[in-house]
Amino acid sequence: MNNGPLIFVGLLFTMLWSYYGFVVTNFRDVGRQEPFETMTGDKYPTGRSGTANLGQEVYRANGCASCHTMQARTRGYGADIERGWGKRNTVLRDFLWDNHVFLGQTRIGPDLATVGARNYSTPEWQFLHLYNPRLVVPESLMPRYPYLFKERKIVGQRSPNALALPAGAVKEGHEIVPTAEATALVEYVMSLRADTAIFEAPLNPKPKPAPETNEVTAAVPTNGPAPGTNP
Amino acid sequence: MTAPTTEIKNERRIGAADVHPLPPEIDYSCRTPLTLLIACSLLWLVVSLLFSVLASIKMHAPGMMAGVEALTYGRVAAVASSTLLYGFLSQAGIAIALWLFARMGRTFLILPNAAIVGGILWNLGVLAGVGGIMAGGMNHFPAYEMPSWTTPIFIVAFLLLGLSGLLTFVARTERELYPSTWFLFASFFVFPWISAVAYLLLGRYRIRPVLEPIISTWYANQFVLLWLAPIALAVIFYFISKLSAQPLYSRQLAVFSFWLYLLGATASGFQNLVAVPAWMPILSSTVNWLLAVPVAGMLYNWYHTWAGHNRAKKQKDVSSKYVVFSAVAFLVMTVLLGMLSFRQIDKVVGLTIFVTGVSTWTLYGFIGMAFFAAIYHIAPRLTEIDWPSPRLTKIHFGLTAAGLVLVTLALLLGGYVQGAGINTPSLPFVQVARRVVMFIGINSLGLILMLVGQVGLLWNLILMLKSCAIRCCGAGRKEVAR
Repeated sequence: MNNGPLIFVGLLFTMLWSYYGFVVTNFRDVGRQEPFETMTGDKYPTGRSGTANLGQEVYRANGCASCHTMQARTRGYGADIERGWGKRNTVLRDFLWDNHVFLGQTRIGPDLATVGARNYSTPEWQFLHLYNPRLVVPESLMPRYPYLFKERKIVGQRSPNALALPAGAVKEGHEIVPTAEATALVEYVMSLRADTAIFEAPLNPKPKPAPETNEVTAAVPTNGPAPGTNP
Repeated sequence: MTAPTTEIKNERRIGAADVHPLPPEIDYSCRTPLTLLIACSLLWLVVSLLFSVLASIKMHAPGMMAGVEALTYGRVAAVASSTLLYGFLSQAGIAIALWLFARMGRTFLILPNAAIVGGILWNLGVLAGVGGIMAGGMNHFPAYEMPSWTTPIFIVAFLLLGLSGLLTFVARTERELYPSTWFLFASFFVFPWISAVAYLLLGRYRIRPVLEPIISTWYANQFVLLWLAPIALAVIFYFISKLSAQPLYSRQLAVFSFWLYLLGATASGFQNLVAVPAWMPILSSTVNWLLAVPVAGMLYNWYHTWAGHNRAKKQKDVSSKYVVFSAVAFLVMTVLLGMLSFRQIDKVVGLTIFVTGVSTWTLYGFIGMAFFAAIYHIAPRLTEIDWPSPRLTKIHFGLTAAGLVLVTLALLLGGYVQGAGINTPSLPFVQVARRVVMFIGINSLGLILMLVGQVGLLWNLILMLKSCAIRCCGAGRKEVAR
């Protein structure tokens, strides 16, 4: 191999196969997906609201994806469904209309694929949690995001958006209100609810308990060779 | 008649010596651009570790500096990762590649001025990227966190640096190509391609955002396994033969490993993605096991070239222990990648800090250590001054190796604990996170050790540059003064 052009051609084909295989074919397959039509004739997914789309930018800019994944695994592959992180596994079609897809890599924090559909999750909870996670989850290790909120003096009436903080958490006569960024982020987080059954990801029902057939297996004669082994 | 030094003898073994420039002349032609690149890369390494330590501490002290928007955890982690990848590894890799192109082709570095301009531009790019991340312009893609508008800066800088490298390659007076050159050639071929893809498809024209995870994973994998890793492999191939003063054990085996490695590495990287079509993780997992063949080939080749030859010189040379560490780390990396490709193992440790541990080990243990070996070898030849403090070099190796092993073990074990916790649905998630804190603490400790080591290396280099400056310019200035 002393021939530069020969190595060049080899490299070209090596890279071409990788580029074609992973990028070009996926443009054709994944990139051309259409929304799924459910049995009731609804389309899934529908796009998110404009505010939620702005919230994606806040999610991106603060690196939320470095601690939170958005990919629930199917039943039997980890315990995501049992943990209540979704009714089914996440697929790329869930993000069909999004400007960004935050699959993430590491679960320093919980998975967020369906956070908007969870019982505890209300916008008020999300605002408090964002302002100081330890107000709602005492042992939480998530950073605070005070810069997404404004402290201001109450003039006349309290703002309807002001956080319902415990007494003493804010100066007398002041209130904490979310900025536009926080509002957008919470709207985005609340819109995360991949819970519609679709073709490539049906809902994962709890498996039925295995029928009790122990007697049958116990009845196999034990003196002969086990079935499937060479005597 | 005095015997020529081993180095000169090595250089003259192949071909007629008279037409080739002598090694010191070649080194002199590389001096300014490469000193610039190496010094800046080590500076970025220290910056990167500072941010890594900060990020790690923030993970067990979540209230720390929470009010500073620019220093929120996500941005700090992104700065740490991108300064490591672009500031240190890429930049040092380019410098090493240019030197190897010149030395192995036995020719002067062509267009050193283009390389200087490229180097300055590259550093401005990293600086702009760090500023962009802190200002909120970051991307959420692994290994591509800097804002996309900085990518053209890197591409232009690379074209200048790469032009210098390519012309040096063309101008070589030594026609026979050593395996190192193939690997360097490969990495210089890959970088513009993948950066252009990332810039165009993830930044400029985001045709279908739903493809983001696939393209970004592809990019991150190519960036590590086909841009940085081949330079590290080139360094190992070079030093294994150079320090043991032996020709390579088997050239045929090297050819075989080279192509099989490239073919396999281009399809790796998807093993832990869950939401993408299943054929991608399956293909990557299979290929990760296939990679064992070229890796075994390379290790076999290195072992037979290295073991038992020229012991005294190897013991004296600073670079040898770094090379050995890097070669062993390469094997460990392959084993870890193979483990991640097992469904039963991925079920537990996929999507945990275990994966972070594997990439940290790859970046510092395999690639970083190979680059340190090269820097320890190249810098004294560029400046014609030995490392001022042999003690600092010893401290650097000890602290880097100890810190790295600590960090990796903490992340791997922590990842296992984390994954096992997540897979126990009765355990609340907060408790899982709490269990991991201890391992993050060990991680911080290891990172601090590594940081201290790198400050030592940087200080050693500064001392060296200082005495070089005094010798080169100081004398001149005195004459002018007289």
